Amino acid sequence: MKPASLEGEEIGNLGLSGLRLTLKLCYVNFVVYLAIYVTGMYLNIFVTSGVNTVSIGDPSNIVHMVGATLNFAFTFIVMVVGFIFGMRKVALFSLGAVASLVVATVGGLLFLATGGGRQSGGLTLVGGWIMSLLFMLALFLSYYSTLKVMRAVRILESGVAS
Amino acid sequence: MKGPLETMDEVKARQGKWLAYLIYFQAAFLAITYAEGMWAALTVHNFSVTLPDVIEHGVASAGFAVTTGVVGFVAALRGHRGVAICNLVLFVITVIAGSTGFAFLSNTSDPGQIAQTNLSMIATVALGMPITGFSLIKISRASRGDSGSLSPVTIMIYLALGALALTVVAGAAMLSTSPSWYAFAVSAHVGVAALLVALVLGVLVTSAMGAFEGAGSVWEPQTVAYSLLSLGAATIAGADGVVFMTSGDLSYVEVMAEVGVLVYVFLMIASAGPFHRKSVGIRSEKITRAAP
Repeated sequence: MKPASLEGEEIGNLGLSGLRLTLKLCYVNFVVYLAIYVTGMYLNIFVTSGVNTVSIGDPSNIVHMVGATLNFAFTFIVMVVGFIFGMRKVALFSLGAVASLVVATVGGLLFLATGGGRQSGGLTLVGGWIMSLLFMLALFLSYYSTLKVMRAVRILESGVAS
Repeated sequence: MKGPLETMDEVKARQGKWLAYLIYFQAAFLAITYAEGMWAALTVHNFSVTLPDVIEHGVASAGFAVTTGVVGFVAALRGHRGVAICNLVLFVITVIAGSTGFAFLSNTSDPGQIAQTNLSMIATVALGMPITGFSLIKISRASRGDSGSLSPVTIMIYLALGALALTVVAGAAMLSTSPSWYAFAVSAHVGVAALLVALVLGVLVTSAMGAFEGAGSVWEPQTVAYSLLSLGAATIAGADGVVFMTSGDLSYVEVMAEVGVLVYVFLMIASAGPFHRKSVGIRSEKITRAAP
């Protein structure tokens, strides 16, 4: 049986309903990305005000970390779905996003462990920059991965309609 | 990825195998999370986010949460509704228990916070043990195309994993709750642990008699060996508990927890024995053919 592809397009062997479910997960993941961004900005502007430190038990920090856990889990799920169900580009883009999130988490831990404030030293700032930049890269890669899933859904839907 | 000459059945079989491997990963993460958590709870006195024990526990529990989510979602895609619902509920509970850990790290001396963290995390482990066992058995049965009724060994493995979960919860309640609950927790822990030993012994005897599903009257060495190891681990853990009750030395509790988690690991391997032994069916077929 030939791999499920159509003139260079990847539709995998997941089926339309499975692809739609995966697309919904991708949308939920973007909501989580937004929640992480908002809580991160809230911590930066209102909790630390650029000067104070933030503790791990701060409620907004807990929401931020739970969001990060969900974000990692959802991105990882999309990656595994890509690998298992034969969607190479979805898998590779998501793998890049997962790797970015791992490095961003290490940056976040470095930020917390070395003081947790902008004036805590150079290493804290490095941690903060790593966290922010890699978060944006992960968002970018997840976006491409979602586009590929969306494309596969469109192709299958047009096939079903015709 | 699908090879160019694979049929749809082969693709489905390969995807089922992947899902089973993911459940093995999930179980391994659960075992490491529990072992690391018990080690930290009994040996560490000043918790902080940078402590190696805490980081290791955090990484293992994050791995468990992620693999639980993956198993739940992939099971949903493959139409295993029961496995999907159980794992997605477990995923949510794991994330909530993880958030109590974050709260604990900022307030490590509050007894209420300690009890809340311990009990929520132990409850997650206790739910995780039977759910991973159920998922593995269900997926391996589906991969074999076996839709018949459950065998006595499978039922006893389910019950043993449930008894182990209750043993773990009662054990944690002994250390975390008020003195008025202590006697009840000790009695429950000892009683359910005795039931666990009886059930593991039942798994061993029944599988030694060759009553595992799909195996007919064929003796299944993998199930027999791992249920024997599970029984050995349960016995050592029980002996450690008795020594702790007489000596009061907490290091025996530590050993009991670390050996106790092996009971779970060995039961999980025993439960999916025939999944990796396709030869069982072939062997029984050969035996039937060879018979005059």
